[in-house]
Amino acid sequence: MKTTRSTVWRNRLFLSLSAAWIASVLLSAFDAKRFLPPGFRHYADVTHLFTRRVEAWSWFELQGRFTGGAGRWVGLRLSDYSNMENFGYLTRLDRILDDAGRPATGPRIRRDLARHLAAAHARRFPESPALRELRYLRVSAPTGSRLLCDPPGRWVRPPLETVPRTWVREIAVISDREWTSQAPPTR
Amino acid sequence: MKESSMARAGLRSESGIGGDEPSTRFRLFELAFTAAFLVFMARNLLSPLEWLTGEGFHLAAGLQRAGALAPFPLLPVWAVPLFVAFLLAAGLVVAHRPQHRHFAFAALALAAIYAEGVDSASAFALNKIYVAGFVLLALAPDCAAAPGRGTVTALRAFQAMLMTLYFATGLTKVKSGNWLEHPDVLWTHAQSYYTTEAAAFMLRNLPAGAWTVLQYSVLLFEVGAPLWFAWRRTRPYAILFGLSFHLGIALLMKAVWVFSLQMVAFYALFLSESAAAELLRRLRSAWQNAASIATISRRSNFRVPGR
Repeated sequence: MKTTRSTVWRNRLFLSLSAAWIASVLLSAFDAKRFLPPGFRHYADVTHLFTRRVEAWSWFELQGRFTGGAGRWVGLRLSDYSNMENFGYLTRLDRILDDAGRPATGPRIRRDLARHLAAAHARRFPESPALRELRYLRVSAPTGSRLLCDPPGRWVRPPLETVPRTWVREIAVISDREWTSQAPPTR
Repeated sequence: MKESSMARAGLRSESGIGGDEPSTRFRLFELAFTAAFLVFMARNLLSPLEWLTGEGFHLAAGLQRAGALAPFPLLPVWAVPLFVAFLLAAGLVVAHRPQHRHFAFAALALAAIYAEGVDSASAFALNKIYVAGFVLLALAPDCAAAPGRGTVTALRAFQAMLMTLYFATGLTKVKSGNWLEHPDVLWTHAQSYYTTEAAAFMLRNLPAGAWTVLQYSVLLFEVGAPLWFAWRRTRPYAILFGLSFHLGIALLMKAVWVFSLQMVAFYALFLSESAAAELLRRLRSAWQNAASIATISRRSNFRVPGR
């Protein structure tokens, strides 16, 4: 095989990048990510998985109030709006909701998602009354509780009414005034 | 290739003499890594419109988790089949046009970056490993050579990649996490919305001590991986433990099998040349059989009835 100058340089680049990737991952594991340039920092962050004891597993429940619904909260099934079950037995929307509890960005995520769900609901169930309000509830099930540590079978989202009230926390209620008052995000 | 030019290029053969030593197992790794990525993409493509287009909910700029890529533009619906064709074409080039596969690896690296940027909610750590893997495969020595085999230098680099992943993951569990402080960390991870039927069975029947043994054996395997895989005596046990570990993850945690598939692809790098050659031969034969069956069934479907 003929060795050209470009082959030599590519091989050197390969070795340099391999060494840089290994060094970046190790620095990240040693909590020394600040020494890395942003691109490397991002792609080296692959080791922070399942690192700490979990005190409680949390997920979101969404409830809606609809036109003519006499103010009653009705549970929304996220699987009606998201088919991608890539977050354990939860959907891609559940993973996004996992971010919706964060103080800094949570309010905007909740408002944008409420707007999306209202539109998706109208498309999917055209005969159904319109969504007027959306309530975000967070359920935190402590590990070691019977529901989690002695399950009869695979994980199944428990109906909200069967969950102890102390596990449920209201995060926010968003009304249609809030999600219609601002233009949807462009992307 | 002369030895001096080999040294300049940074290449080294297994025997230390130089030359692009054929490495069938590296070729097998290339195929397995590419196939694992395409399977991961195919799983997401079961819901293509939610994943790639405005039909699904996507976080706007500034709302992603810290450190995530800035969001990439979504695809119009008509472009989704083009994205699928792009992935398939790259996969076919890797499999059937090895002399051009470095272009295909570059294309797959771009696809992995796009998949992460377009939807951070369906991207995980394995996306980042695919990006790094395909970038390095695109640059790997011997890409310019026709026979389609990797060099020992590339082989060693990717073996080091696997050992680094294990070691760093184990280290993170000790340094940033609390795996040494609590004997029931694994037990708490088993009882979640990832819990499969198999995990539920284990939760009901395994005593607490068994979870602790599993936890510390995983930690020992990860932290000691560079030693277990590098030392010839422990390597077979490391391979056996590692494969069981990833099979366990796939069986016990819903939806995480795509990560197991990615990691298992690396194990091709530790096969003997003869075992890798035999596996490749069987894969080719299975592919040819499947292709001939498809051809026969296509012909019989087009046959005019009554003739």
